[in-house]
Amino acid sequence: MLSYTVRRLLVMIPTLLVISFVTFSIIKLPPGDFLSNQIAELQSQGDRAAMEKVEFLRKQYGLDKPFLEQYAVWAGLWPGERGFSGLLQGDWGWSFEYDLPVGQVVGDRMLLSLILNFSVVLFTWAVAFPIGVYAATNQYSWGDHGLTLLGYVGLATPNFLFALVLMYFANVQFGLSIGGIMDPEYLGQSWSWAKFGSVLTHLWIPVIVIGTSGTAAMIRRLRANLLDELQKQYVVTARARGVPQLRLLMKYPMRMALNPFIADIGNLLPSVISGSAIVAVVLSLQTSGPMLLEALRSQDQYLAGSFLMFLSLLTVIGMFISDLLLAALDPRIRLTGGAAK
Amino acid sequence: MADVLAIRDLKVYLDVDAGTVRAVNGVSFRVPAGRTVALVGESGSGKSILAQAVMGILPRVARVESGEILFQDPDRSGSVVDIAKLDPDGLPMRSIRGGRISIIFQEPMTALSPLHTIGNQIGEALALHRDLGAAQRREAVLEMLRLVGFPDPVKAEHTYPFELSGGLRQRAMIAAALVCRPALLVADEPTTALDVTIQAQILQLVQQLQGELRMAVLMITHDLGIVANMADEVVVMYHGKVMEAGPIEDIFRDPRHPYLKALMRAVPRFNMAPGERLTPIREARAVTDHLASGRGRPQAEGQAEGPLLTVRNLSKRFVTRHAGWFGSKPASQILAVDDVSLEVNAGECLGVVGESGCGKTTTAKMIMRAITPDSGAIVFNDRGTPRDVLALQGAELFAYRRKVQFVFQDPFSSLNPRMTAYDIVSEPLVIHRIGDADERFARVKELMALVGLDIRFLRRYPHSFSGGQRQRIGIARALALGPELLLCDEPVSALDVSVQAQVLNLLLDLQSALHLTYILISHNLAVVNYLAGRVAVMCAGRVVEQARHEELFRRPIHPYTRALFAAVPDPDLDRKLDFTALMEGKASNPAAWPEPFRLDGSRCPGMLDLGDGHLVRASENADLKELRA
Repeated sequence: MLSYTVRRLLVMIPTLLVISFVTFSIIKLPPGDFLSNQIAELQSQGDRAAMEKVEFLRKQYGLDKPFLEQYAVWAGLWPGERGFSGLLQGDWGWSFEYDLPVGQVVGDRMLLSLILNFSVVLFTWAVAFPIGVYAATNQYSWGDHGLTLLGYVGLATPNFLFALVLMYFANVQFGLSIGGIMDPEYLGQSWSWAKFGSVLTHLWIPVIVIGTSGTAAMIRRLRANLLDELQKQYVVTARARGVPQLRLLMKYPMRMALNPFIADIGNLLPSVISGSAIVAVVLSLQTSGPMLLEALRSQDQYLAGSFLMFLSLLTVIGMFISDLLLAALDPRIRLTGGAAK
Repeated sequence: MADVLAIRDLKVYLDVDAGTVRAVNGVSFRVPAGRTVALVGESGSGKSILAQAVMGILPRVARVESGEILFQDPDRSGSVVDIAKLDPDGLPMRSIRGGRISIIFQEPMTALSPLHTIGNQIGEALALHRDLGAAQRREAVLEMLRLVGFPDPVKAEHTYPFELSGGLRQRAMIAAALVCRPALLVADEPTTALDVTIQAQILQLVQQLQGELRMAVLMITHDLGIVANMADEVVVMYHGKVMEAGPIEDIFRDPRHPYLKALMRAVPRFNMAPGERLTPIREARAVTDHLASGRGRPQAEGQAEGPLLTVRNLSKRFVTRHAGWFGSKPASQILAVDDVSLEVNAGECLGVVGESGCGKTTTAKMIMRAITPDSGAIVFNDRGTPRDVLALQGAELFAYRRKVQFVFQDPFSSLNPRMTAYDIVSEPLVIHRIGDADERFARVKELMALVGLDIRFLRRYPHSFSGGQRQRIGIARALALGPELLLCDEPVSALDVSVQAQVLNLLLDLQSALHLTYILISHNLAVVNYLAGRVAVMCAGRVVEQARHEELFRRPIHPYTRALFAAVPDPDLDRKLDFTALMEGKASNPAAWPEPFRLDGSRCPGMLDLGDGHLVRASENADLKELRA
């Protein structure tokens, strides 16, 4: 187990290196860079002084350097203007758009994203588990059919559409403005109880909007998994031993049906940070999703790159966690490779 | 003596889409305390539903229509409970279930949860039904594990089911069922999925525990051999009704009902006349007329000289790794197949006999190229061209796959539940890009007729077929490519007697109609005797004896072969199993064999030829005459 853990941790290093290179390459793929867009704009205005400033910036940020060197400096593998200062050293780089270090730009939004998406996950699990279990244990009952229909509707409705519909009706029927993740007056302020409360009152709409499709998918999956397990012989055996219904359900089929969900944690972590970008744009939530979108569009390369790297790191860590959890929870899983054929 | 269980005019109906099925239709019988009653019948006769009704674990579609299931607990004499009237999930029923009446199921592979240890699952019944502390409970679990024959109970307590062999799993199942010392044990086909030698051990165990715990046993089985050896009374069920019931002597010496007679004729026996055919209760006729077209049929002409398949000195080791907290411990090796040599002639059926773990399936998989052997050679005679099977690559290997096909043991898990019968049977044609959609459909129709299935079934999914029908789908799939060699790995061991006869006859008919060559792997000696011309007996990865089947069955020489024969329950009251001849499970341990057969690390005797193709593994200085005696 220990050697497996160490091995997995070591494998992460080349994985992340490859990801960082691919990420950076893709961001640099479109012609030009953030500053060249600016230059074009300034040239049309004929602003000579600004042009010089841009030239200065370009030099300072190393945008005139070859691609590989830019990558190496960003990753912290090569000394740049300020010596070794890149991802490896914990320096996320500079955002051109905001004229701030990336860490500062991202910080507050990341926290909001975390709160929002973590609530979505909790909501999904809290709603999907009881419903899924009910639908499986009462297969083909009216309840099952009704919930299944509801689930399909939830699954089939695009999130952003649902968000628009909800916004429209909230406004027309109740006169509420449900956009944003907090009341506008708290934006940019430091955290206080009042701000936190405001976030909570605004939170439920995006949570429902973002959560429905995930909940519906999860209900379907849990129901199918459980139905497969419920008819297995060992469940009947345990029942024949006199185990009461609920305990039987929890101890045997649920444990088996959980595996896919644990395996899902790897995908869950990154979506907690970046998920639901489109809904966030529609509902004008101040989360990190829309920012990533904007950064990619304006070729704010260090902001976008560092952000994507952070997501990749979360994915890799998430996979690692779910693998370890699976190994701990399911005795059938072997940590060493399969026997030779 | 009082009856533990008395069933009076019980009716259990199933509400299914097509209407109401009267699964149990007015059944009455009793189980006296401390005795064994065998409930005999093929699948679909309602015997398992009856067992579920007794346990109060009927599936949701089933309901007790009328009748009584009276349970009288010998520990609380005088109180009679009608199980049919109890709420199946209520406390009174739950305390009876698992506490006073226990059940063991057929499949030890799936009847235990793979995520919980043996100790946990055995202890669960105790925790529910007995008011014991954790330490006492553990003590009782260990005691029970010892009683059912786990060599090291303390270690066994912490093992998971998938770490145990089938026999040990079934022992764990029995331990879990008996740990509360019930008054009645319902054994639903307890040994159907096990090897003969293990089966004999389990039967012996049940008999011995029955004596110690003074419990009654309701043994549900379709194996008349087991009935003859275990039962005091017999109840024969057919289509939800009792056909015949009475003491064992009356039933076996003088069967009255035609169904019982038919059932007895459907079982392959050792003392069958040469060429005698089994009489299945329902015949599945192979329709082979249309094969005149020659489609999907191997050409009989151009068959070359010499054996079709030659296996020489095949060996395979499996390496098991144990992952500890600090890296891998040194690997231990298991010699799965050791120096196996076989020859299969075109058109014959070679039987390979041995208990599970003896390497017979591994050998078959190596012939299929599903597993790569460590050493040895396999040569396939492709109409005169010898092909080195182990060296085949790419297109040649792909072509070889058309010549050799496999029929699996378990018709339940070897068919994809999400594919229709048509998809399943036509898949080999799709993979090998044979014909267009129309031709494939025509071929699949032919194949279905070949195995005696209605083509209207083609759009159904596997779960709606019975075990025998599924196995016939499996056979149709194997025949789809028109193979020359068919490897049948325990083709009938998961099937009912009546269906077993049907599938065996089908295999027999197909062999002559299609000029097929079989390698028949089985632990059921009677089945091998019925189909095979020559038989190889395998044990611990080696072939220990090989002979023509009459010769082998008349004069087995090797102690392992003899032990195998001794373990087969014969449906004959005058030839009961001799449990003492089982060598206490040592028969399959080569180091425990008497001279001159003993194998240990230092010596490995070769095969001695006794003449007439009768080979036996014994040391060279053994006296041949003595062996033959």
